Amino acid sequence: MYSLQNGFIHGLIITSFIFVAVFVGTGGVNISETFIGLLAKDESVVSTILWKIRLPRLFVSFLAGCCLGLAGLLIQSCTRSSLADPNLFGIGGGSIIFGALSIAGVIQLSSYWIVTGYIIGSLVISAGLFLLTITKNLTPTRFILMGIALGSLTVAIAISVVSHGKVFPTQVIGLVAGSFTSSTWEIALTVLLVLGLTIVVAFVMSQKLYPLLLGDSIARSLGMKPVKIRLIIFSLVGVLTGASVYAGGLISFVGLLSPHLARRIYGNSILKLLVSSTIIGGTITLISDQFARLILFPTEMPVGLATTLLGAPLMMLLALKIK
Amino acid sequence: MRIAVENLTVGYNNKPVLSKANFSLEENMLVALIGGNGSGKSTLLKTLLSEIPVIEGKITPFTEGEIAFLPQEIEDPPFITVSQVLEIGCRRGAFQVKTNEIMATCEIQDLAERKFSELSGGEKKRVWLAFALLQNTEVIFLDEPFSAIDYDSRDDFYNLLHGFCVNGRSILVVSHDINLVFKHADKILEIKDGNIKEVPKH
Repeated sequence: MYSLQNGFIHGLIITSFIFVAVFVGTGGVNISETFIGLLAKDESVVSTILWKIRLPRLFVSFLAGCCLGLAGLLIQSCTRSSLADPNLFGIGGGSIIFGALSIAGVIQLSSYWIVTGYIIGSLVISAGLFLLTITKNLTPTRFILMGIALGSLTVAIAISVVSHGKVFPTQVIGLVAGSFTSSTWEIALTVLLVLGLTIVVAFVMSQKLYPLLLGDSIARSLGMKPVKIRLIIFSLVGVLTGASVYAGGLISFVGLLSPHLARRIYGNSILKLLVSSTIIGGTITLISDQFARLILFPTEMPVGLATTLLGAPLMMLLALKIK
Repeated sequence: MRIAVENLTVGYNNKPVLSKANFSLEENMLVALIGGNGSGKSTLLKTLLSEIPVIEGKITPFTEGEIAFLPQEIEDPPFITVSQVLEIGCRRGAFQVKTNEIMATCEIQDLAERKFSELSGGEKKRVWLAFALLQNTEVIFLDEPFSAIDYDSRDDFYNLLHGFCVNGRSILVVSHDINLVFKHADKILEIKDGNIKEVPKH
């Protein structure tokens, strides 16, 4: 029953931040005017700010966070590593290399294909990490170290590309440190579609995740094919991470934090976790984006920095518990 | 006969560690496999489990995925609790003895809701043993399952294992406890100098 109570508190927190996202901002508009604008949905300034800027941003930040929360749970489960994070480990980095090439004008694609490019970028790194897991003697600790190295490498490559391309600094910051300022309804819809498809596959695979935690030898003796399962899971992680970077750039630590928080709040069953880690990822990102938007008013802080301020200390705490 | 092995040569990368092995694993039997460090006990198990390819010879029947197996060293599963570990074993359909009884015999009833990674070495071994025993397979391989368990409890565990070798079930256990093996096993196989042979019990 305690998870019901926690769910209620979680719901209250989300609701209050949705309220902040909709009603608080730089426009100097009061609550009643905002409310009228919200209902009117017309050509007025208030209405435009709400329907073209604040609401899409609210949805995009939540959905991108959901992708990261789910990706984090999946990568931690299939690598037996409690510190795994799709963006710290360079999977999102693959996407921002594509993003950098695209922003710098090296690759020119129609907007329709851009999301595919982001996903392919992350899938490449995801495939690389998958190949790492096949090599012998890969302990979870080694995997973490290699992942973090790969993460730094991808960011360095992406930044090199954009600095070569003489791009606006804000675009670069948005890419490597996360930003939801250019959110649109199209982005929200695209991310929702990707999330919907991957979560269905994740549910189908769910009963195979915990046996993987027992190690490949035992998993095989249970009649499973651990390498094949891991290949599918890494593909899902790649797709989810690519979609989140497309939506909001590189946002670290959400994937790391969400599964741990979800376990604490909603318990440890894998089916519950698939839902709760996803929603908690969305919640963390939504809240972080509101802090990012408002805390340095009138300027904005990159949302990835807000999640890092939250996530880095927690990663240190988790690291203390690892043997 | 559960598993018959004829002229089997096993080893990694085509380098034999054990040659021309002939033995069988009969129903309702606790079979012990003994031999020095590096003699090829684990290699033999992995070959029987189809984890490494056969160099030469024949294993009947083909046993992939039909054997409950505990490797010698198992890294702690992170995140999950003892009951979640056991639940994975139960998915094969629990053995006729109920899960609760197995947990009671392995003395792990009180651990069910604990996180696996927070258990002591001996407790972990007990959980793994329960995990293997409650799987509804006819053959169980245990690679040194008692290494962190004290001598008196080991004696009990061998009794327990022997009690499980009924209704056609057989257990192959790799062990260093020569005394206990002679006391409890129905059949003893020894690997020595690249050969395997049955050790007479009397």
